[in-house]
Amino acid sequence: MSSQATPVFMSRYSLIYQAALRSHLGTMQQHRNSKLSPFEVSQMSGISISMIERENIPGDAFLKEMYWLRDELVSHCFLDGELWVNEILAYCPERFYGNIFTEFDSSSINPPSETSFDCNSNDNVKAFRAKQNAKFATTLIRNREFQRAAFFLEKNRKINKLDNFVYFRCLFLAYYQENMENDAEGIERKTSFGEEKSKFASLYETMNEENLRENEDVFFEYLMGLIEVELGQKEDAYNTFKHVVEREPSLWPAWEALSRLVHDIETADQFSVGFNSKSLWMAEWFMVLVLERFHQHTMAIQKAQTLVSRGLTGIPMIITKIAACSNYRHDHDQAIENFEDIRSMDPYRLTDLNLFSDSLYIRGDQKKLSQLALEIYKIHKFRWETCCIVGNYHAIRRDSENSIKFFQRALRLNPGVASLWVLIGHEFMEMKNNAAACVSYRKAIEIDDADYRGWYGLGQMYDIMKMPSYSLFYYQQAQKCKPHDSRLLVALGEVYAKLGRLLDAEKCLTGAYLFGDIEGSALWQLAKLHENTGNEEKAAQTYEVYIAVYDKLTNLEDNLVYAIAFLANHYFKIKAYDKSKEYATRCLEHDSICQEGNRIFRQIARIEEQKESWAEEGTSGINADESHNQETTNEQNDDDDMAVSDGDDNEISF
Amino acid sequence: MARKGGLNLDTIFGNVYNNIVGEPITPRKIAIFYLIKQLFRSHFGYRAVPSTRQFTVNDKTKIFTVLFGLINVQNDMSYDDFRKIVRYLDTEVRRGIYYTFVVCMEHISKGDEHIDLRVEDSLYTGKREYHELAVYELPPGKPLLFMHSKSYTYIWLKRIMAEWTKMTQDEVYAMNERMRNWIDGKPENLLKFLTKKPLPHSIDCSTRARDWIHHRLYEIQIAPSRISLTQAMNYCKMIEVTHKDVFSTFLLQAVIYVQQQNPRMAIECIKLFFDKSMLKINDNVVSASQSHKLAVPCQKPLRYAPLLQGRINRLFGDMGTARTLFSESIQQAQLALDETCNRMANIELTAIEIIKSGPLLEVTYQNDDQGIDKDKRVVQQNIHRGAELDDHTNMDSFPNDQEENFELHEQLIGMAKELCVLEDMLYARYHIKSAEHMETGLRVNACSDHAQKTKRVNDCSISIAISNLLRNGMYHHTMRSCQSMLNTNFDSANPNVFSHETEAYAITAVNMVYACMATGRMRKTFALLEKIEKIYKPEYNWQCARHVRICRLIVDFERSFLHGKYEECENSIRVLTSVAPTEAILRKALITAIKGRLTEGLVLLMEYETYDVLSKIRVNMQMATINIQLGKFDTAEQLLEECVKIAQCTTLRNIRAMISRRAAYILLLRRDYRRCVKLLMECNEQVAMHASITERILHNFTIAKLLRLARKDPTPFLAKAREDAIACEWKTMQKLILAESATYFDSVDNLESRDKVFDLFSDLENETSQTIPWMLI
Repeated sequence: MSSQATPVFMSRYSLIYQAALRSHLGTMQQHRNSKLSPFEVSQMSGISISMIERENIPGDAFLKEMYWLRDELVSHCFLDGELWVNEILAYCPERFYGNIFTEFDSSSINPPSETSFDCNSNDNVKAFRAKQNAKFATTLIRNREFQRAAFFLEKNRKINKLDNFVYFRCLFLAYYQENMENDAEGIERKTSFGEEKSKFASLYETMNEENLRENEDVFFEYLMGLIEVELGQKEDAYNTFKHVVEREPSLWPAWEALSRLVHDIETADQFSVGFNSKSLWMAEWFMVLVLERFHQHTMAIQKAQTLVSRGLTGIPMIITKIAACSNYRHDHDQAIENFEDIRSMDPYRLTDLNLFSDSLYIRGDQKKLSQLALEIYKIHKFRWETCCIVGNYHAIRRDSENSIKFFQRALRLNPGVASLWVLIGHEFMEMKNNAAACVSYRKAIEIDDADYRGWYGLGQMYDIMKMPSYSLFYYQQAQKCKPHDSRLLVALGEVYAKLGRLLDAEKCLTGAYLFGDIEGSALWQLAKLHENTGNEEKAAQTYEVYIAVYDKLTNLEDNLVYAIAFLANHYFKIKAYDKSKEYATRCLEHDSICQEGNRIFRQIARIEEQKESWAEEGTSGINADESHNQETTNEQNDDDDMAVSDGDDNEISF
Repeated sequence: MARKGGLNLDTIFGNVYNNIVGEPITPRKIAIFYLIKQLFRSHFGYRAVPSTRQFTVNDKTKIFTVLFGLINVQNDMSYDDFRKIVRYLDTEVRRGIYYTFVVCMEHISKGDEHIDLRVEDSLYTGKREYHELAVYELPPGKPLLFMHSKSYTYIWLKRIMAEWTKMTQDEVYAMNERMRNWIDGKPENLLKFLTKKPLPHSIDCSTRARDWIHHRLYEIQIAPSRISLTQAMNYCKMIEVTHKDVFSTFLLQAVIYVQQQNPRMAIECIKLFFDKSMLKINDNVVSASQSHKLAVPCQKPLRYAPLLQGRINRLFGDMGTARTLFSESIQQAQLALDETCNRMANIELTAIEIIKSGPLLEVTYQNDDQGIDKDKRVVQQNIHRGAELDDHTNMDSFPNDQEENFELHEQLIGMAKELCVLEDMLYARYHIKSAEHMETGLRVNACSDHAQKTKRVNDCSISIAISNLLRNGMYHHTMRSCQSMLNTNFDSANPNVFSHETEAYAITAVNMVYACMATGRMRKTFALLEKIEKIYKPEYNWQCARHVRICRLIVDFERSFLHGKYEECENSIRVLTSVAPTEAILRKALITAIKGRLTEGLVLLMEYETYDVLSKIRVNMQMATINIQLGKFDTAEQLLEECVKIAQCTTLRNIRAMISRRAAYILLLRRDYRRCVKLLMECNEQVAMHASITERILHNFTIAKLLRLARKDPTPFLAKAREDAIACEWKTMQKLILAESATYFDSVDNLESRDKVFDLFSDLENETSQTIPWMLI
């Protein structure tokens, strides 16, 4: 070891020895008061840094710097950085405010200019502090730390009216978040000892005591309405939101909340008509939501389209609503078209996209559905819409288990959607698990008993179990929810037919046709009903209408063929030979009943020949008529037999 | 073992069955838990330190008596009161218990410890772990148990621990704070701690809620006047919200709605009950523990739901829907090979044909727009399909999960046989086979009789038998049988209250009233009627109340008729028309004819269409008497011959006498006295045994009149008739009898007797001036 190294070693050793002594004695206080220099400290730790002692931080420069930083962070959307800055400013020592008080323009990029005025007044300090607190609280709200934000705003309540409101808003959000968290904890066991939102009740009481409902800030009253909804006081909430809208017609959240509470369409219409002069467009959009809620989807679409024609073109919200309503009224092609438009405009918009997936599923478009699921899953895995889309994707691939898992995940994210339970029920039906399907449909009804799908699902389930009498109740309930849905009327008609209540069946099927007959089965069912009950005349009328309506549809060709053949034979039986010929001619257009048509032509020709011969022979042929008719009938029967035995299995004979 | 794959229904449907064993935790129960833990340690020792002195049997008796009492306290108790009870243990059992308990509590109160509801394994096993044995201690030969694993306290302990493990963190913190406040004696701030208003003790946990529902279901069927339907419904709504696993609340709601005569809501609740019951708790504990799945699908609702709904439809008169539902139930039962359900549905289907929904047993084909199959052979097939039960060899087909297999089987057999009896009664052809069927129902009582199933069938059998006695005119037998049945129907706590208020007892009571009236005991009739009207009120027992109502209307009619107040009779008839049309029409025709509008009365009867055997006979008899009054003897004779033809196919004991009396009227008026007296004497015995008091009076009067016209002494018969007329307070008849007597006395120049009779007559004339055309009755 060199002699030069030894002193370094020794001095380091002595320093370490001293440090050890100090650490044996030392508290933090001792360390703090120790006379160690920075150089000595750096020597002890082995890290060498420059520890130049500097002067005190000037308050005004500090504040300027912080304000500049905050403005930059806000404009560049760095929320966590903004929170950091605002916290510092909220706890900034008062002496920093010093002689310089500045009012800054938060949108400016360059450090703001200084202005000075007398800042020694306590009121100014308080006001400044309050402003810092408010900004900090706002940042905390954006970061979802509601209780903490309320804590800071409590100091500002008496100073600033807006802060007073935000304070209550923070408390509301904090209690709401707490409830959501408690719900999530208890979701596994569905606690039997219930939950009452007592914190909301105490908040409500406080706001009532301070008469905040009559406050000039209409948002107080709106907030109280929200609390009433949480407390289950729906009637009070309804009146509150009405009042809020009357006070401030442009407050859309109140309109939206009101649309969920209004009792019926007529009341809503009367209410909104009064706002036509005061509100530009919100009253109409409110009616769209109300109509959608009460399943009047056609009218909702019309209402939405009036807004478009008034100038609100290209708004995704409106197009989405039109698409959703199209989906609800089973116009899936239109719905798909609209959703595709929205996707092209705004591909990352997820609202109501689950309905797009429903329409794709019903149309059996597996390719588009899988593409959609893939894209959406990449954007946001944990949105309930995403889970619903993926669930539909698995469903179309007949993977019921995975489908249910995703629907269940969607429910955990948003438990208040009845349609998810319906979809789960359908999947259980696919798995032949009737019990679970039944409970799922019941869950859907529990959430929303005005949604026909839960009732319809139950009715279908019992119908499949061959219990039509038991299922009748559920179909009736479903039809009450949506009186003008032809599918429900068709289902009711079928059940009534099975129960032998033919008059009721006829009424339902006729009603289904008059209301649109979405699936094209009402007329067919009605015609078959008449045919099975022996009422051939009515059956013929119905078949005629059926042919007239569905003539061009290729997927109903079998039914059309049957109908044409029936009509040809029916008119032949009742001796309306012209019409019989007409339909026999149509028979020739279809290979399967071509021979039938030919046969009828032959018979008609024979009869006409006979008539001519009788006309020549005069009235003496009258008696021969009966025997000729008998022979004709016998011949016809022979022909029929021949037709049956002629070997073509597709041939129809009556 | 590998877990079974597939969907876990528990996670999908929220795992409601987790709440089945919960016991709501309160500070008092935590204190009891700590006390038990401490007592166990006193008995067993703690870890390596064994107890020097175990509790004796007497000690344990005292300890568990106190623990049982503490557990079953319904209202909460303060910490001070709790300590007093623990001090009792300290003085009576062993010193030191109080001290160690209070130390534990103080630790919790100060926050030094948090609540810890765990116990050592030794509590379950009774054995110390090997590593815990003291150096000097040998392993004990047999376990040193503190309490048995099937004891009440042990199960209670497990339930508390189960509930504690399910509590969320929030609830645990809140409970700790509550415990501290309870020990410190601070009043509980309910708003702060309790998340919900406390439920009544009887329904504050799933177990007690089920038990409460079970008892109410029983009570509402046996004695509905003892429970308040409104309060029961409120409790049901609370259970519905707070105990999601207790589906039977919907069943109780359905029964309450049936009592309130609200079939729509009853059906909705029944459907809810069965839909929610589609998932049941896994009975197979091994499978549940391996697969970690509590909920499993259940197919029972598919076959029982239509059955119960059909029964509701039948009760409220919707026979078509009921029939279809029962058919669906049979279909599902056959698919599932459920013999019980199959038989129950067949019995219900049979009940539709026989009983329908009305209070009276009569054949009607009204209000049946389904066009039922009137072929009696089909009806017979249905009945006997349900009654093919007289063999116990089919017991194996019953599902094994039913505890009350045997009682249910007996009940179903009894019900089927009783339906056969009812069918025979309906067509008035009671024969040996009927008696055998009746005997089956009467002997149906089983040993344990879970939920009194067989007792109810037994009661029904007795009441049916009594009704049959009444139909056959055996009024004294009826009264004795009714008396014996009603005398045993008293509540042990309060002898003045009926223990059972079922329809069987209601029918027995009204039969008693009818029998008393038929034998002329008018005072007893009205006293009994008033008593049963207080018990069977329509607000909560409409099925029984309708029988009482019909009885009241008929009795009031009879009283008014006997007193000659014909306007009051019409009031009764007006109400009777809606509930008992046949009874109403017969009486209406009678009153109309008595008022002189004979043809109108006749037309009423001719236009009335009835399919019931007994009703036909009665209608024809009434028409015959009106025709007699009109002088159309040939028509009357034809009608009476028709009655005879119908009666020959029946086994009714009293009907021939009634027909004979009316036929005697014709002979009397034709002055064929010899044949008349022969006819009346032939049925004298029948009249004495099976006729009502009015029949007897008229029979005796007819004989007296005949004898007088034949210049013989009629006084014995007049005396009998008058005696009976006085007994039943038939004043107009008394007048008639006196008039007849006076005529006779005058003819034999017995002026003294005649004058006495005149005096009596004038007294009666002052009371009522009405007369009675006796041949109309």
